[in-house]
Amino acid sequence: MAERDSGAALLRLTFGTLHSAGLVTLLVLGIHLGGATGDLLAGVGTLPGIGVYAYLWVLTWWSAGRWLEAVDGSLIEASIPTDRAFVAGAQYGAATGGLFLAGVLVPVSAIAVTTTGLTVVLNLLVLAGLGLLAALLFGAAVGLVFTAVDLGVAALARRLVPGATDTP
Amino acid sequence: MVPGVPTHLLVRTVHVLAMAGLVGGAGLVWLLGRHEDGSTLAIARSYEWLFWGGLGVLIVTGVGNLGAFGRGLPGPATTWGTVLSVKLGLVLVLLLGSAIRTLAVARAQSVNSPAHHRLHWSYAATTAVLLVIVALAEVLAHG
Repeated sequence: MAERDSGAALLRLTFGTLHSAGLVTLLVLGIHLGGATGDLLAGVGTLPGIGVYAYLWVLTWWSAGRWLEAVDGSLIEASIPTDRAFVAGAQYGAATGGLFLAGVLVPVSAIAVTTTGLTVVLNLLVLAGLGLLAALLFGAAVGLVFTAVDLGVAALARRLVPGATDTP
Repeated sequence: MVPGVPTHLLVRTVHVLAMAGLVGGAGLVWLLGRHEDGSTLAIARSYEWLFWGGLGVLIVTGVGNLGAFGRGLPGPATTWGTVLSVKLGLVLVLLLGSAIRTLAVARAQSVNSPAHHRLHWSYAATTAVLLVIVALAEVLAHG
C-alpha cells in the first residue's frame, strides 16, 4: 500500500512538473523565436516571476493528481480508457487555466485598488470575466494536448519495461 | 533577495547547483546500473524525485537568467539566439525522455521486471543529454 502510494506520488510529481516545465519552455521558445523575449522578461521582476512559476507548478501538480485519480487506473501497469482520460484532461486543464488566471488577477487587483482606485479595478474585473472564459478554453485545450502526451509517454514506458501483465 | 548579493548572481548559482545535482545523479545511477543489481532500482527511484524537483528549479532560474539580460537579449537570428533555441529544444527532448524514463523505473518496481539493462542505458542517455545542455550553456555564458 505504501509502495503504491509512493508510486502514485512520483507519477503526480512527474506529470505535474512535465506540464508546467513543458508549457513554460514552449512559451519561452515561441516568444524567443518571435524576437520578443527581452521586452517581455524585462517587465517581470525576479521574485514575481518565481512566484508565478511556483504557483503554476502547484496547480499542475494538483491537476495531475486529480487526473490520475479520475482515470482510476495505473498507467504504468496497463493501458487505460482513453475517452475517460481525455475528458478528465480537458476538465482539469480548464480548472488549471481558470485558477491560474484568478490567482494572478487577485493580487494585481489588490495592488490596483491601493494605487489607482476602484473604477480601474471594476474595469479590470469586467475584462477578467472575458479573460476567464479564454483561460478555461485555453486550459482545456492544453489539457487535451498533455493528456495525449502523458498517454504516449506511459505507452512507451510499458514498451521499454515488459512485465507479466503487459498490455501495450 | 539576499543582502549584498546581486539577485541575478543568486539565481545563476541556484541554476548551476541544480544542474550539477541532475548531472551527477544521472551519472551515478548509470554507473551503479552497470552491475545490474536490483537495489539500483531503489536508488534510481530516489533520483527521479530529485530530478523532477531539480528540473522545476532549473526552469524557473533559467527564465530568470534570461530575464537578467533585459532588452539586451540577442534575437533568434543571431548565433547566440540560435544556440539558445537549440538549448530550449533539447530541454523539451529531455522533459519527454525523462518522463518515459521515470515511468519505466516506476513500472520496473511495480511489475518486478528484470529489464534493468534498458533502464541503465536510459540513464546513460540522460547523462549525455544533460552534458550537451551544459556545453550549450557554456557557449551562451562565454561565447
